[in-house]
Amino acid sequence: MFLRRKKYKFNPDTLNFEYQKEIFVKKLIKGISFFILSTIVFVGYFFIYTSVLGYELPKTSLLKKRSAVWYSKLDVISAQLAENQNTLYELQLRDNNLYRPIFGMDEISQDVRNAGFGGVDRYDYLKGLDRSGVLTSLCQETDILIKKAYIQSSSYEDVDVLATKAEEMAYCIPRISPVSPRNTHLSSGYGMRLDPITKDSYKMHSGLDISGPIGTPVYVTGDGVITKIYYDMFGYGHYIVVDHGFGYKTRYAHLNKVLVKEGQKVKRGDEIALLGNSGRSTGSHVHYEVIFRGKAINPLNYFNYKIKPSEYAAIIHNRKNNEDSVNS
Amino acid sequence: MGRYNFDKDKFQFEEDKNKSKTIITTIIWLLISSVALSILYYLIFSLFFSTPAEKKLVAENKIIKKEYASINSKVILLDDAVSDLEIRDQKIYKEIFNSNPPDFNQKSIDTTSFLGYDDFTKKIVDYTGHKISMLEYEVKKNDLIVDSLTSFLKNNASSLRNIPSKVPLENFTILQTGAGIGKKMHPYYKTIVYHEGIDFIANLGTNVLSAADGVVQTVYRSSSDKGNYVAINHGNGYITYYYHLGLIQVREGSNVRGGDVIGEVGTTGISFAPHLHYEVKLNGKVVDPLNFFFGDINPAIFRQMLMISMTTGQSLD
Repeated sequence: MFLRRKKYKFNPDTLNFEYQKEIFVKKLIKGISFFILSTIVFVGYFFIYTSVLGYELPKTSLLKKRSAVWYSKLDVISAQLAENQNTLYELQLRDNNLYRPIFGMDEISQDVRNAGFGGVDRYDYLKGLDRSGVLTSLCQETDILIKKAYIQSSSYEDVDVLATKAEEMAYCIPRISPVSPRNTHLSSGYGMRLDPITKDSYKMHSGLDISGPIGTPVYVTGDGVITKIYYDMFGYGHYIVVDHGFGYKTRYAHLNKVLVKEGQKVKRGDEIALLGNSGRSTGSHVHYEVIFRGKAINPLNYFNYKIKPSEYAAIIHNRKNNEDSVNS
Repeated sequence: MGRYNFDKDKFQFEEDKNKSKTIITTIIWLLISSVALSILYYLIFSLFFSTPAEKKLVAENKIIKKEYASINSKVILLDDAVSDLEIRDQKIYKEIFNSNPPDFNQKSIDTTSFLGYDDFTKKIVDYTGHKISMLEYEVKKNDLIVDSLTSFLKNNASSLRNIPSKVPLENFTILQTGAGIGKKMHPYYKTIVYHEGIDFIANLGTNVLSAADGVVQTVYRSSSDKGNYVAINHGNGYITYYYHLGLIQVREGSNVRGGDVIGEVGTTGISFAPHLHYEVKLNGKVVDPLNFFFGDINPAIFRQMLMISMTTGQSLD
């Protein structure tokens, strides 16, 4: 072991070397002054390091690194949010500009879509803690987007119900002519006319007469259920009533032969009868009525008789094909 | 006065020279030991105390850590909800238009796809070089076209006024574009029928505008087929048709200017939903109305409209 060498001092008065004894108090004073001195030096270094050289304290930079890691995680979330926001925005536009007008629904205003996010500051607890404000805005944005997604979702529920219904309605509403325009012609329209048999008085003609050869197929003009098959010798002759739902019924009269049964479900384009001359009739024709909520209306407002026979054939053919694909 | 040590071998006092060997080494020692001491002091200090800035950082990191968990779970929820909405959107769109909704979020070339290569910088340079030469070629080509157009227009300036270049709908946004010209499924017949115009979907009562200056040729009111409609003759062989209108606000023979209100969107005639069916005829022949909208919309929007009108599978008649 290295022993501490004793220190001696030359005393000029006694002309002697004297062993220097260190007293406790002196030691203490020495220690304190050393501590004070070193602290001053420490403060000096500290000052030079932080203020003159401009470096950051190790602890601070460590904390900043950790903070940077958190911020990069927040960045990822922010990017995710931005993507969701874009998608939501596009969906909103489509909802407001496309779906809602189509189904006659009112547009959801931006006020409603952004509702509940003014006034009370619900992110107060983050104040002062969040230096950059990034966290606060992220929290807020997330909550707003979730709310918007919720509003969009409930809107889609409404739209979806109507869309499904509209699609069903598109199939059910009597939208085609009951007979092909090939070899047939309109012989009498809807409205007041001279009675064709007695020719003595004007009567309301509540349907449309389309003439054609006996045996021409009569097709049902929309999806529905056969509700009535009847024979009325002095009136409509053999006739069929089909209920299409949504307030629509159709009547096909003066038929030669009925090919369906009561209660049978039919689809647009199904052949339900053959054209004839039964009942109170002056020639072979089909009397076609569209009844909306119990009132006969002009069938011509519901279909286009002027379409090409080939187009008409395609519609009938298309329905038959669908039938086949369902069955097989 | 120096210090002295007792040398036991020589049996005499010798001046202690350790301290004053060299001033430089002393200074270096002093420096090193003081720095070491300062570091020690700092370590002890930092264990127990933080500067105000550090305190803030600690608090912030803590709150972010806490909030991150909750935000993250919310974002996962939102992701799910939004993708669910997209699926429902597709379903609804399909029910109405018989096709998928247009997707405008297509990403441009993804630069990270180059990262797989060892020489990816070279690949990027090659790709960019190729792209630049392509663009140069396109620019030259377009220059020629612009030149010929300019010279043509110098001689035929007045003919521009007849072109139905305005989108015939007030406050139009591209998403309102429906089925364009071409073979589309009929909403009721469910068969493919040639669609001779373009559909614009809008709320009932939205103003319908004249596409250019002209004279009202026909005003027709009907509950069947095309419904209430207006035809405007713009001269030079251009006639535009506006079908399924609700209210009509012009009379036959009246003069209209491009952008004038001629009526309101309706759903008269055989129509699936409120919409404007717009047709353009040039010398009696049906032409694509989209091609004339350059006066009203920029190329990017034109491209999007074209895309929607082409991909929409079902007309509203």
